[in-house]
Amino acid sequence: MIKVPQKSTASCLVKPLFVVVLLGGIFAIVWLRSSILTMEYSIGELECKKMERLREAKMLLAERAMLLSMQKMEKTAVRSLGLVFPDRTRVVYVRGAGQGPLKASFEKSRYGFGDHSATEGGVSPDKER
Amino acid sequence: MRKRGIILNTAICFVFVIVAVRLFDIMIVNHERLYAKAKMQQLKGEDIRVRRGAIFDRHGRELAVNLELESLYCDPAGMGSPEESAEVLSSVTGKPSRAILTKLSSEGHFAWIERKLDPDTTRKVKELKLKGIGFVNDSKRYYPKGHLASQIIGFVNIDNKGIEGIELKYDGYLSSGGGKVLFSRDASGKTLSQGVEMESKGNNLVLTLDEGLQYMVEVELDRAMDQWRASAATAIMMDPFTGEMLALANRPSFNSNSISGSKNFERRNRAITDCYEPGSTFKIIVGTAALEEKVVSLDSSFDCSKGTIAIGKRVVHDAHRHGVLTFKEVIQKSSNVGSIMVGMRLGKERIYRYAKAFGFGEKTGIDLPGEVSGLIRPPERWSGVSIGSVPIGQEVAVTPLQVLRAYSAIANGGLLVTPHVVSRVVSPEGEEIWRPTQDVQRVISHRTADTFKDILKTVTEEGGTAKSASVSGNNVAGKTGTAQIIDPRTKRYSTEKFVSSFVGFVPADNPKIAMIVVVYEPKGQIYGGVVAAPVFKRIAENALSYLDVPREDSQGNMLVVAR
Repeated sequence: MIKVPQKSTASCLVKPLFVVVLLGGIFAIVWLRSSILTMEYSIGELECKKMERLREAKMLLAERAMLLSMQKMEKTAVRSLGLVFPDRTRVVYVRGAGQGPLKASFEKSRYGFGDHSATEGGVSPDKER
Repeated sequence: MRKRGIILNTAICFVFVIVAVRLFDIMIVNHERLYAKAKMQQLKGEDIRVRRGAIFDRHGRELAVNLELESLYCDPAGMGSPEESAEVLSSVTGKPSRAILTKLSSEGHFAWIERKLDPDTTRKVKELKLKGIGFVNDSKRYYPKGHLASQIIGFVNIDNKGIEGIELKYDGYLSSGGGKVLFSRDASGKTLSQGVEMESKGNNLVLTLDEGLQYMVEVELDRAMDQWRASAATAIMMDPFTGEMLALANRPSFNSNSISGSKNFERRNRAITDCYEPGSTFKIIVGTAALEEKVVSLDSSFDCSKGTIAIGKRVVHDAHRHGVLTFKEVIQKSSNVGSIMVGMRLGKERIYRYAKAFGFGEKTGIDLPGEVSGLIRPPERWSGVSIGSVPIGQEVAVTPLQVLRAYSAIANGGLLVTPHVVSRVVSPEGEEIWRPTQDVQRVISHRTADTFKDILKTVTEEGGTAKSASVSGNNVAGKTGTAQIIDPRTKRYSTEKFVSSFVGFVPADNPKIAMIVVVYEPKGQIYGGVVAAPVFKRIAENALSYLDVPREDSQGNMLVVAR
């Protein structure tokens, strides 16, 4: 009588497991490669879109620079808004230091200010010196 | 059954052998050749987009930027019907169909049809879906301020290479290295991203120019050109302490965005490339030298009552007859006779030495291309009448910038500064990578500079030659110049053509700006005090307002405030 050795459950599973792992590995590699390719396509498309946006952004930047040119601004300020370039004789300099809002007084007669300083009704703090 | 099995096994083995042989052929025998062929099909080389750095004024306002456009090319070998395509493209691009047809019918696989198309045209051409044509991303230099500072900024050629101005001088900083990147592509030609940065950016330049001041200068130059029907005009504004150019303009001028429509003389930066005889503005050389060498004092008197002085066979006249003048009055009234007398006391060697020390006859070293050095002859080459010519600014050739630099030395207490236009070079990431070093030389003592500054103040006061240059509320120190131009036909001084100039600084005691205005060949009037000085005044008034420089007479006119 021949005695057939009894196979353990583990050894029975080795072969199918090996095949499954092998197939799974191959599938994973193919799937990974395909995902990378898909992603590369997506990135390529996004880069095209980015290029388009960049093109628009640069165009807008140039347009903004052109619109903010002194020539354009003066044209708009003078023709549309009726502004004039500040006359130095009408600018009053305020001596002061430190922070905080300034309160201009109208003691014209006491300090002998020019008419313009009183009639202007105050001074912008950014003219502070 | 067994026989069938043998046949099947043999067939399978045979197929495997064939496959193995083929694989051996592909992977071993012809590997190199086929690998190269596959690469050619799968990979596509694309140029890295080289983008020039931007140029900004001192406050960060854009003076030169890049636009992203597309250039149209064709593959003549892959064209369907060149004639038909040429007609269609001509109607969209506006280019003559014959010119397009020549390109579509050329040899090879690549020919440009039109570089840097505007976005609208690009869109229209793309909608045509013509066979054998394609687009390449391209950048175009754009100058948003048009004419403004065009002779300083310069321009680039179709390949974005600097040709003139700052664009040329700093081309190495502005442009960056290019190169190619290989992309994988599929059977339909669609590219796959490699995640590589496809843009190579150059460094940005920050100039010392101020767009606001530049605009004021240009507006006034245009006005002066119209008023005096002059052939040309130049104005330069500089910080006398640092040599920073705040504004520099010439007329005629051009628009950097349309180079093809401009002429050579419009592109010339006269401030540094054109020489002229400075006339009376040169009198500061003998004036400061005489004070420094102590050959005169402020009260030294000179008899100018004749109104003429004879030097050899040459007789030099004053514009008006004066009496006996003090040294101070000689400068204030711009007396030729008095200046020649001072020059004779100094001697030609010392005049030459001081002229050279003030930078005449040498390049100023400004960072702009094309500067000339001017001319002043060494004393051994002076003629017998040169001592009557050089002290009053004749027989010397100077550029407007050289004159301004000399006056800046008086403004700043006797130091000769190096003018410059670029304040710093900044990398695309915002790091400062270069800044000019300031090289200063003492020309005259602080005391002489201060004394002469006081004399120059009298020029714009009552009795001076340039009352019209005085600015309300601030003292102006300066000097007028009226020089004759040599007529090329007669080789003599023209009696009709003059160069009128005014150079000075303001506020005189604490100068914020030094400026020169030169008007070439004005019609109707010739004197610097009448032609150039009012231009100086108008620019200076606006500039002081713009720079927020307070009036010196406003000390007792302060508004009292409380917190």
